[in-house]
Amino acid sequence: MADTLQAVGPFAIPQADKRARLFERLHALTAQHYAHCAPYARMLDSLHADWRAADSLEALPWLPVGIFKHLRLASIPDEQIVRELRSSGTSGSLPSRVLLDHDTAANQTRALARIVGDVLGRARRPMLVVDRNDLLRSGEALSARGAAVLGFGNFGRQHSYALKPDLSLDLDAVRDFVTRFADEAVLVFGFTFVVWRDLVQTLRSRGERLAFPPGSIMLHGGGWKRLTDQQVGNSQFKQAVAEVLGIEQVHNYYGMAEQVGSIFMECGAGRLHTPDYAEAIVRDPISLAPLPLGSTGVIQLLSDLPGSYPGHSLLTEDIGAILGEDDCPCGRMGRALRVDGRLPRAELRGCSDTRAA
Amino acid sequence: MDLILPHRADADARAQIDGLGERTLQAFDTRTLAFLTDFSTRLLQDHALRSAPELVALGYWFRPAAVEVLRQRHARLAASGVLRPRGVVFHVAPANVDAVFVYSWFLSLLCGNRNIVRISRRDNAHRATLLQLLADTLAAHPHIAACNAVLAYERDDAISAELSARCGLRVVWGGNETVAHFRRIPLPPLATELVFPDRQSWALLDAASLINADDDTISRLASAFHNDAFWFSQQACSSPRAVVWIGATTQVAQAKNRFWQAVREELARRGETPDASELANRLVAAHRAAAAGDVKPHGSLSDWPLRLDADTFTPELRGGHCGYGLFYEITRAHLGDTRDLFVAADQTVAYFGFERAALTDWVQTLPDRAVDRVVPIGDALRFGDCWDGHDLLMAFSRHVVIA
Repeated sequence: MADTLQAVGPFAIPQADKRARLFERLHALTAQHYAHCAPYARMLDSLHADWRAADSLEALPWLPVGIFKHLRLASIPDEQIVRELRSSGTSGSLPSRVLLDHDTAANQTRALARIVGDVLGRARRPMLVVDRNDLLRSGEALSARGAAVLGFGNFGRQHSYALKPDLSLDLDAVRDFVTRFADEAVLVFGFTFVVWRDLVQTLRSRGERLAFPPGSIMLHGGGWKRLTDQQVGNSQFKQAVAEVLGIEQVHNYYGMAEQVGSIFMECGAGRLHTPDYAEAIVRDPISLAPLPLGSTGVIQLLSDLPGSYPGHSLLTEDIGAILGEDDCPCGRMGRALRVDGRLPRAELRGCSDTRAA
Repeated sequence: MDLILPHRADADARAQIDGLGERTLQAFDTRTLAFLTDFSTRLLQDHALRSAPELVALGYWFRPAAVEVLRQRHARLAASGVLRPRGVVFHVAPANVDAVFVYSWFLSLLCGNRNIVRISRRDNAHRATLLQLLADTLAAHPHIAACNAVLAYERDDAISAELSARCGLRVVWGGNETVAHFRRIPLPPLATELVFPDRQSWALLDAASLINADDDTISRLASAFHNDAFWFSQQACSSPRAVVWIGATTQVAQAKNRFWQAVREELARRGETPDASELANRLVAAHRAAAAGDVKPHGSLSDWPLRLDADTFTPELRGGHCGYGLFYEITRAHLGDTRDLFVAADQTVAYFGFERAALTDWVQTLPDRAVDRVVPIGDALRFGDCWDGHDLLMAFSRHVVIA
């Protein structure tokens, strides 16, 4: 789609200007999805009846992100669907289903390239994927993890995988990778928990230390829940990666399968940045009223990428705060964000054993 | 397979189960009555369990006076002969509700059966305290202890098949999936099965009665409704999820305002506050409902309780209901106009403002399988010895005809 905002980005537009442009674009997207996705139109008519009168980003209608676990929502005819993404979901819950057409998939890829390029530069680096080496071989619908590896894989070359199909560490492969590219900065990519458990902790427990080449960068995302459960925070994570792998530049990113391409990358100052075509709003977890900068609440994510499904405005179940606007020491424009984790799961009390989704 | 109760030195589940075959009990056996009296007394004296109303209710349910009422009813049921035990009863208990397995088990015990009870390992708030109390009570009643085995095991069809093969009656609680799963596991030819699948429940309110009631009545009604709808997070099969209002539109609007205002005051009085995770669940449920058909929120989506006006309680609304204070409100001019709302899965209707005679006539107009209980608001979650349309004293017994 020619009119997405990403032609400008990815972190260049000052907040006031960005808000105005995004609002216009997202309001139009709402109308587009309303016209082409009947269940979405029914949800707006019933629950967000005044959506047409929205006059700010905060007033735009949203969907709870969990709705994609239950409904197959598309704003395109089935024959235009080129890919279906499925989130892995937390254990015991249903996966989300996200339907992409060619344009949305292409926009996602382009958007991701701009954001990641902002951190990595233009050159493709040798890339170590911290995941099972058969992840992309299993057919079916693409898992969110597979989609991320595929998406981020574009930014590397000569890919190696750090894990065997049973998720055990393939130490020979990792050693071989480090030896092979001893003289050039590489890219290490993986899911936060997988990197921590299957690479960092495994190396630690074996007393192994590796020396990745200077200038190497690690990108990781996918959520902190299981690390928070183990009381491991971002600084501890970075310290451990530096100690065990010798990688000093570690960037976490925040994003979700329901808005692929729209990711929030951690800068050198440790803040997650909203790209020009996306926005984060923090709301009171009980009243849902928008909160001022600095206040902690549930995160709403806006993105102008989802053209094939009505996922451009999602109320997440993640908790965080907006840290600032246009004022990060790293120089990036727009809002910077902190993500603290997820709402706890509500307790189940029913007579039925069936687990709620 | 772990033996949870009774405590045995060797903790040998199979030895305990094998031992069941050698014991017998009579219906309303004096040893059973002594055991239940002891259990009820201990439970009602336990300070740790005071804060669990469902367990206090359990203690009252098996106190001697209540058991005597059951005994008399049991005797009357056997008018043309005598009720005898079925033998070994295998109970499969639900995972999320602590007390249900005890009702099922003890009613069966009263009918003279020996029991195998499978309970979940899922840790509920008062589970450990309740199990300890049961263990202590059983330790003081060795014959009763020898007649019962409470087990826990991960889903394992081989064990379930072995236990099913030993029973004369299998009782499955825990919803449609569990029922469907156990239905595939064979029973001996002479055994029967009692199942408790997923059910849904309603509140039924008469607008005119509500408008005309005095303030005291309304406060008591709100408190009673709170117990029905907010205990068990509105997720018990008897918790009302849809509310039918009977009356003219303007009357109903007035009655709704008065009723929900009283409910909000009751929540405030009890110091209960909305929860962010529960709100997230309600938002998903509301959006699922709206995607499927026409619903209209009454107030804001963040309201607690969240009220959605609907025309009927459709399968989509039923299937997507999450509990946590979400109510579908439906209006009909007359009680007689509600027939189309009810389906076979409907269990309890908790009412306010209707005469028993009118309800008796009304129930007979409903579809054959729909609605098993019509009780005043406040009694929706009260366990009864007639449940889901089954007389449990009868179902846990055999009727021996003596002519």
